[in-house]
Amino acid sequence: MKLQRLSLVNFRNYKEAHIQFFEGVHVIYGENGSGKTSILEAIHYLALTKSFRTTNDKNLILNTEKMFRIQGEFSSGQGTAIQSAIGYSPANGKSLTVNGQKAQKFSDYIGEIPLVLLHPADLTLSQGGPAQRRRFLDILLSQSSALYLHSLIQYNRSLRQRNQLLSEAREGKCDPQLLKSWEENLIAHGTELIRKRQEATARLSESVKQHYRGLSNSEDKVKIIYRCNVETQSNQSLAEAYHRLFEQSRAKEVEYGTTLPGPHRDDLLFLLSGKPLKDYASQGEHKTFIIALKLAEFQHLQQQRLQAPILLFDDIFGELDANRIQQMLQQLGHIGQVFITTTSRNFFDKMGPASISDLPIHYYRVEDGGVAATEA
Amino acid sequence: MNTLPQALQQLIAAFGRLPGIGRKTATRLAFHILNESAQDSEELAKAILRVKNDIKLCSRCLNFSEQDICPICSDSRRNQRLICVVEDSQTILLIEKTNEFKGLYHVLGGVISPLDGIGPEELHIKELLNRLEGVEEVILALSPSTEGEATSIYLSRLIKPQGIKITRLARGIPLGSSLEFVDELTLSKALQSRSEM
Repeated sequence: MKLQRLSLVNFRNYKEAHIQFFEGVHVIYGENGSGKTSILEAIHYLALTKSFRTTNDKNLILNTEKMFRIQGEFSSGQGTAIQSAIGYSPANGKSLTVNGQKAQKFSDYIGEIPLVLLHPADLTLSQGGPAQRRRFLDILLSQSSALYLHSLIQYNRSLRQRNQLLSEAREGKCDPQLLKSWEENLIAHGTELIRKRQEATARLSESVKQHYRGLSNSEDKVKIIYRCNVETQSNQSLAEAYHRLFEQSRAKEVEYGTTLPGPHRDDLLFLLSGKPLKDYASQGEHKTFIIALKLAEFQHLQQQRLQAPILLFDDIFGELDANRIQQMLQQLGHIGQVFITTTSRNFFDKMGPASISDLPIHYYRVEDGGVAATEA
Repeated sequence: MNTLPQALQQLIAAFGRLPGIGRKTATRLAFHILNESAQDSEELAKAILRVKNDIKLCSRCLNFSEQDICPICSDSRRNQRLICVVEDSQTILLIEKTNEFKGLYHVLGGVISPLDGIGPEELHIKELLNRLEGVEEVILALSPSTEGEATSIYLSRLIKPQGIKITRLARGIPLGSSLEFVDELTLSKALQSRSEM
């Protein structure tokens, strides 16, 4: 997938900007706070209808303006063009237009423009809490399967409804039949989520292992395990085990006022030579692992959507050395399009006018809400 | 400065509260009434009052009705052993149009949604359970949302133990459309609920 043209109106600190992009690597450089990341954020928003920096869309609107609009022209590997535009205003909410048609459901659109983001927050993925790892899987799977996204939305909705019931149950009123009705909903969608996550984890694990070996030049084996709190005994289906777990947990759930069994409390376990990465790995090993994981994410999406995802690297030079980044790009082989933000273009200048993995490099200088393409 | 007479402003505001009507349409409607004959306006006002005063809920199915028991419930030609459960009266209109259903209805008045404070007590579920004697089949025609699903499951848990057959509307491919225009989700649901030929 390739982004050919991006237009911003009232987005972050851009009053109005129209930027043209090409094949290969785009290095976007400028001072801190000049608006480099906002360009990546706009691309991310166009692909996933969400920002990676804020959950409040109001924060994305320029100063005193009332709305923002992002527009992009994409072309897929097969040559089909996708023109999408998202507008947002607090008064009218978010609206998405794809090829001139107003989209009714965002969930049908997500995945059309596959995208992989690497930003500083990702570097805590192997050390932080489980919510971050579930989010990683959810974003990956939502882009590769519309059914997964549907199940996820339904699951989260049912979860909130049932938690509301449980919090009321704590005050003494509770209809067990009602609780069980929401459980069936949760089990129907939850088993779907668990199956797809298990499947994806097995594939990711294989792919991460290969990439890690390539990046570290060591024989250390990495492995990813999906840790599911619904454990199946022999001869027992996942749904049966899930049912039984609900039966056993209900009293505790009423006490805590929240739903206990299910994929909303699952986790990914990262292993290095059989030991948990979290407790044993050095900082360098963590970084190498995250890069291997991102490469695997890229590959997974590429296989599922049959085209190379767009790659966004946001300000990772402080965290990763140039060597690691170059290695990473080399491992990707046929990268479609890469967008990199950095405060200085030193690293790229040192490499000379040449290129990364034979990909052409384009430079963009960002200054206070303006973008200009500069000489190589 | 708003130069409109206060009575007109009030009418515009009243229209503006109706669903699907914005300020512009409300203003247009209000001016239309101002310009039409006094007789027309009187009829409109009377019709609105009659709806409020004369229409109540059918004591059996809780559909809107002018009588204590609505024409559908009192029609002896209809199958009394078959009840179709719907969210609101508008769904009855849709199903009646098909001319395919000859049983009775029951209007729930919504679906269960704890987040909106709607539990079984807020809906006409007790009334449904009280009229199940002699009923052979209950058809659930609720919307396929998360809340509609949970309500269907809840009702089937209550009704099935009484030995009554409980079914729900099939979901799948709209008639007359080509498979290539059906979204993945609908297609996969249609696969799950495929029927033998």
